[in-house]
Amino acid sequence: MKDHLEDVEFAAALVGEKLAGKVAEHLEACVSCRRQLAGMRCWIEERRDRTERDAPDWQDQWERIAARLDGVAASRPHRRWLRPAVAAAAVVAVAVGVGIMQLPEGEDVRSELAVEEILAETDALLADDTIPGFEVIDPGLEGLQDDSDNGVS
Amino acid sequence: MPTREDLSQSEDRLVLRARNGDREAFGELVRRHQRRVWLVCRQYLEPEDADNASQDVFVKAFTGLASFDGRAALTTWLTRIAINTCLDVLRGRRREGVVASSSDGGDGEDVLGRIPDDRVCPETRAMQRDAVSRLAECERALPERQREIFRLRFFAEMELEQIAEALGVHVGTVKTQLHRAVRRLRDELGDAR
Repeated sequence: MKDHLEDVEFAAALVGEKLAGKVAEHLEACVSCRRQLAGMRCWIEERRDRTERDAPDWQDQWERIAARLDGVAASRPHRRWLRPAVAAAAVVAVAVGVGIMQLPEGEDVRSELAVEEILAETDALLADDTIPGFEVIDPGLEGLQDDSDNGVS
Repeated sequence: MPTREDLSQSEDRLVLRARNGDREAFGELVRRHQRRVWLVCRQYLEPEDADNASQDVFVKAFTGLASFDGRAALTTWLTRIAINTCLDVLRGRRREGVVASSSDGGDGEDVLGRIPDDRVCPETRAMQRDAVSRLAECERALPERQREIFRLRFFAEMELEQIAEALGVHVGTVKTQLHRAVRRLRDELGDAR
């Protein structure tokens, strides 16, 4: 007869998976393995039953969740291309500005904006998360943290 | 009866609608997953805390739906949020010096008192009376990772692959830890080993 159930076989038996022929045969014949399995199953099932008894009323839980959603908005897919695009546009703007300033004297085109100003404006633009497309990833999470800190559920 | 694929497709549509702020669609997603989320939270926290954590999970999910890219199943994504939320709660408590409870709500003696008499024969029941009380104790003493995986598998009824994805580990790791846990508990039961 096969030796006692391996742990992998025992775990499979615990969740009710179909056992290979020899494993099933052993289990049928071996009182020791059967007792172990019965004891463990009994304990697991009882724990599951007890857990289910602790479960909240699902509709009530949803209503509490829905109430909390009133203050938050679902996040939309981010326009991930926008930030790099703005950065690229800024680089182009700087390059054009530098090019214009380096034109030979006598040409009738002059820069009216210093490079530093362009860079400063770009930095300010990039730093401003409130412009469209620059939203924080999970605006509701910050509020959520505050809520939980305050004991609000 | 709808197939698993039908359900998955309808779930994709629900996610899309919820992402656009459709509260009804999100409510349907909550109804489909709230038991699983709560079961997972319950493996880490006491009932009331598990309820609060479950609510947090769904609020986080609603606000973070844009980051759900569909590569993992929604249930796995929610489970991951649930585990992280519970671990945050536990970490917060450790920082505050609150001692975490065993979160299983009772010892073996209490367990045995509630097992219906007609479930097993008297002999088995006598054996179980002693063994189950040892099992509960032994399970609480398992290394943290083994206990976590054991609970997710047998008490939260998760598949091995789901556990692996949710914990961000290889499924082989889950199996190894699970079988070590099973071995320890079997050793506790004696006899066959």
